[in-house]
Amino acid sequence: MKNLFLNLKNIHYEINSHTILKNINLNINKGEFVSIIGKSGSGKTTLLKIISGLIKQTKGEILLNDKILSNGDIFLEPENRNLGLVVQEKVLFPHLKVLANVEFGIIREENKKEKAVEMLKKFHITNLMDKYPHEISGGEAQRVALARTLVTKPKILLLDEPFNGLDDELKWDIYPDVNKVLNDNKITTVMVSHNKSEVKDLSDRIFNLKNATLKEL
Amino acid sequence: MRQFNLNFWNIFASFIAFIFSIPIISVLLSLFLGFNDNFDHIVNVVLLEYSINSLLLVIGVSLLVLCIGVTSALLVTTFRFTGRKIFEWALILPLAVPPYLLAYVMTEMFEYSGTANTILRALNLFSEEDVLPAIRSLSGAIIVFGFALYPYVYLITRVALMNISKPILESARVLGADKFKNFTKIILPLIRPAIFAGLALVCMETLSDFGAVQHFAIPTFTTGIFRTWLGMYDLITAMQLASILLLVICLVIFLERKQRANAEYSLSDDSREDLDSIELKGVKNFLASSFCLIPILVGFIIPVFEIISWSVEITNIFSTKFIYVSLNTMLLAITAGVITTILAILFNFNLRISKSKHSKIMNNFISMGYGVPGLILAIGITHFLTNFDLILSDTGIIITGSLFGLIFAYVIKSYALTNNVLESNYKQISTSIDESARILGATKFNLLGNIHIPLLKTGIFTSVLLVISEVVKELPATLILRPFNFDTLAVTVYTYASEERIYEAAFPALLIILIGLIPIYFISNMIRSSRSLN
Repeated sequence: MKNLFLNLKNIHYEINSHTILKNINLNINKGEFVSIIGKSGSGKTTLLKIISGLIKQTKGEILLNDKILSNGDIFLEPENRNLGLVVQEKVLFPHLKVLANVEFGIIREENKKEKAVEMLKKFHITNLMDKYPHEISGGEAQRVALARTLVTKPKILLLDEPFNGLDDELKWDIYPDVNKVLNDNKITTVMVSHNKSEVKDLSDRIFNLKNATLKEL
Repeated sequence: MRQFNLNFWNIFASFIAFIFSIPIISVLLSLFLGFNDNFDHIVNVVLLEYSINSLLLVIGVSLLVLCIGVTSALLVTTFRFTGRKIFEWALILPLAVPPYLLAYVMTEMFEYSGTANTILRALNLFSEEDVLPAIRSLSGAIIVFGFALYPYVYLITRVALMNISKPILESARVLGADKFKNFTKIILPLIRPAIFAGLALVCMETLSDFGAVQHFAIPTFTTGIFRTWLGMYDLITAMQLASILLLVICLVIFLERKQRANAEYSLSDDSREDLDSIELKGVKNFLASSFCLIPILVGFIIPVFEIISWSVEITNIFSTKFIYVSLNTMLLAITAGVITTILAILFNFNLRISKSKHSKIMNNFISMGYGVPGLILAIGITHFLTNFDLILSDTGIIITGSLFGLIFAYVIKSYALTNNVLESNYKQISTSIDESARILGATKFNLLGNIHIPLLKTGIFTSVLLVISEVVKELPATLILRPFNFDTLAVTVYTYASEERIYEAAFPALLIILIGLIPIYFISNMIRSSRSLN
């Protein structure tokens, strides 16, 4: 597979002798949009956290572009993986205005503001840049969270039910913007959801996580 | 919120707010009465000294409480080390020991024949001539206030740390922030308002204190006010000095509120999750445990053992005087507790039923009485009651010097405590219960008496206990406003300490500490239940 980008080999995760993930193997190509569906508590979020480095798998290996992110000997900290993670919880930094939130992950100092404003434009939220997170709506907050993640140009975008809690109208309002930014930048994406219908239009491939194992649908 | 209506509840709220503000207005109005020779003398001779000492005290205490309070809160929240579970609640214990009591204990311990010097001599670390530096100094006062008051900063910072959302910190890490950046750019800014709130409380308590600074003979604003009034017999000048102190305290409150004005730091409960803690081993484990143990030793364990050692010297434990002052104190404390709680129930019931913006403002206003120093309240109440008596009778004193003034001061000082408890208890009762009761024909008073009060009984009990513990510790207002020959536990301890008969203060002091442990029990329970909710 010449475009192989993210490679999960025999990922196993257990906590307090309870197996959450068992021999998960997943190969994702560059620019691909892959969705993983499953019931609440099936281990979807755990899998994303393992990929992002927020938790470490019990066994197995993760490679990104042939570089080892994590195995029995090596563990690259999440801040050094250059991945993006957007979750369903409110994760905007409450003490920073929207612009400062988006600037947070930009490492290089030059043109920091321009880069952030440009990303806010793509999500049509430049009007929010001087507001604090508590002054904006739930849908706007998720747009900001996406802008904040994508401005860092992550190698992979991990989406953990980011639109959960938003009403359908709002979701369909956000999807085109997200899709356009992902396609324009050819960003590899892994999204988890409990709802198949929500992901089928966005995804190239869909997997089902059930009984700790992963199967392609 | 609805606008102001002229109804019973709004008139009641305005009336209570007016009554509560009388002592403060009395004090502030003194600034318009003209300044006499005594004031000129104070300004020219001692005001600078009062100001510098008060300022140095506040700065020193602030630095010490920041160091102890913030560090210990960070340690018990973000690390796992030996004794951490015990330290979590034990670090609050010094709240039970008021600063003046710690000052008396420290003074006694650091005397030539005190426990500290005796132990050092027994260990051959000191010769017979050697003696530890005198504690009765400005730096000694900073240590006493620091170890007595750091729990305010610890407690508020700890709660703020527990409220930080784990997903937020995870987001920061995935966005490239290492642990240092996470701490400096996310954690520290998020807990900063809490640190400032705790610090503001410490500053107010330090500026308001009378017992400790008086014992250490440090001329500050409070000792100056006391001396001007009861030494120079000049109530107006004392009120003018009190006005300056009151304005400084208002400035502290203003600065604390201003620095958190625009940003929303509280997080929704749905995103709360305990932060991951890091296990400490070896030297780091020892250092963390030692750091948390020292403030508990200095602020609680050592003082309690020292006071117990005094009690051994006393033959008659239950003296008539001890029983008499204990009964006096409990009578006052329970009366104040019941009155304050009834007021808080009525205010909160009114807020729930009317949703009146006016009542909300009035409720917030009277809650600010907590920040007014007891000494200033006492001066304002005395001035008001004296004038009130003069209107009622040309011949003599009717209310001045009665228990009325004292209970009035306690109610103003304690209202915020009861309001906080009942406000949070009321939030747990669904408003649909009210609607159901009203539809079933209950009047407002039926609703309050038959539905709310039974549901609020734990909150009511808690709030009465909190007021009792506050009143038992209170010294300056009690000292000034108590009726002639009417002593309380705090006044008895103060009197014995002033007369260098500190051993006789052992049992009243122990009882003050014992009653002071009541709020600590509730605070620990509150933290435990918030953890289990997570």
